[in-house]
Amino acid sequence: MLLGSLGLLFALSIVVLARLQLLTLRYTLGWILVALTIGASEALTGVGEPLADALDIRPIELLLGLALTILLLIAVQLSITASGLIQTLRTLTEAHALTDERIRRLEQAAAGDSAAPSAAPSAANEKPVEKPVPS
Amino acid sequence: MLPMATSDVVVIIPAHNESATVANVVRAVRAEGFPVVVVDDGSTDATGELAEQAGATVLRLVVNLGVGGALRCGFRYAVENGYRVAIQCDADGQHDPANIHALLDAMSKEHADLVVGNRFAGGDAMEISRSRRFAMRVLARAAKRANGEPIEDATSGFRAIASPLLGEFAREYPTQYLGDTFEALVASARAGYRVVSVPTTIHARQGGVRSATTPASLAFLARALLVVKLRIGIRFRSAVQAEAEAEGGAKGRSTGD
Repeated sequence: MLLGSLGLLFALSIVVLARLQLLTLRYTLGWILVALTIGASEALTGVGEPLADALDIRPIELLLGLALTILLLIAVQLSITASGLIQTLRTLTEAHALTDERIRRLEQAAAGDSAAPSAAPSAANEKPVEKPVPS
Repeated sequence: MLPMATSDVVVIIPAHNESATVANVVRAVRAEGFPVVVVDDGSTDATGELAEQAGATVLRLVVNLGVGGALRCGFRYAVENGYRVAIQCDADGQHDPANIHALLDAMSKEHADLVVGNRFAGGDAMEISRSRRFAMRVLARAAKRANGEPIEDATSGFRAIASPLLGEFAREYPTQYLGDTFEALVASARAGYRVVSVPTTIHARQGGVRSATTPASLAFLARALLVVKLRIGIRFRSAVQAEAEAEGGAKGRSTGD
């Protein structure tokens, strides 16, 4: 009864978070599945009894072990997601910086063209005269 | 490594809140005849503006990515703009831009893909604490194991990188503290790139603060050694493979494939 109520409360919290747009559908569905598992765990304890007996542990220990495994898997999955997002953030930040530099260069060139068509490129972007590196 | 001209070379300076020093560093590098790209790593001061006024091209990262992230952005700029060699240089004035020629000279003579400036073998060898000396010895030993020949200053941020390794750095680059120096060096050597070291002079920091405290540095040291030992860090394509792909791409472009 206690676990059932806990599971229901957890599921309701997830639905509220999803409605507040704080959770994407993907994670909402995953956590609702976890909530349902918690809610049904009292019934599952009975189902798991033969397995617990075979492993010579109590059913509640089997349940806690399974819960811990699920939570660890979720943590690893979220770490993978976070790693991917960090990589994406880095790539986007770099792409933004490179694009920003090109736009500023083009704007400077356009401003130079409209002011004086034969204006020389800015010192910052001017490539140096080609000369061999001393060796 | 083919013969190079100065127009093939670009100097990349990652900078985070280095307004006190960046302009002088940019001017000193430009005085040596090289174009400069300052990667403004989410600075909250006028680093970007001052670097631009001093004559640098500035890439502005809207969030702080750390030295490794800033460097990868600089390497991408170098590759996209057709440079064949990138020089990595600090913004705090510790590295002497006059030594860039020594790095390039060693690159040509030794046919090296990566040249590391050794801060401890130059005229004004740097004074360092005992704990830091120990850490650097440990890293140097690990670097030698990967490279075959010794690299005494494996954490030096004064380096020259040539294509095709430059392309590998632009594609993927370690971003953690020590990752951008030591791990990148080890990964390059393991992929078959030639890594050599040359003596360079070092000046006292003109401004700014050290990026890590001693306990944090020790934690980063342990992390870096673990990453290298377990081979769980970044892996570059082999020198032969990258060279072949670069040649294939160039051939494809020239024949319109």
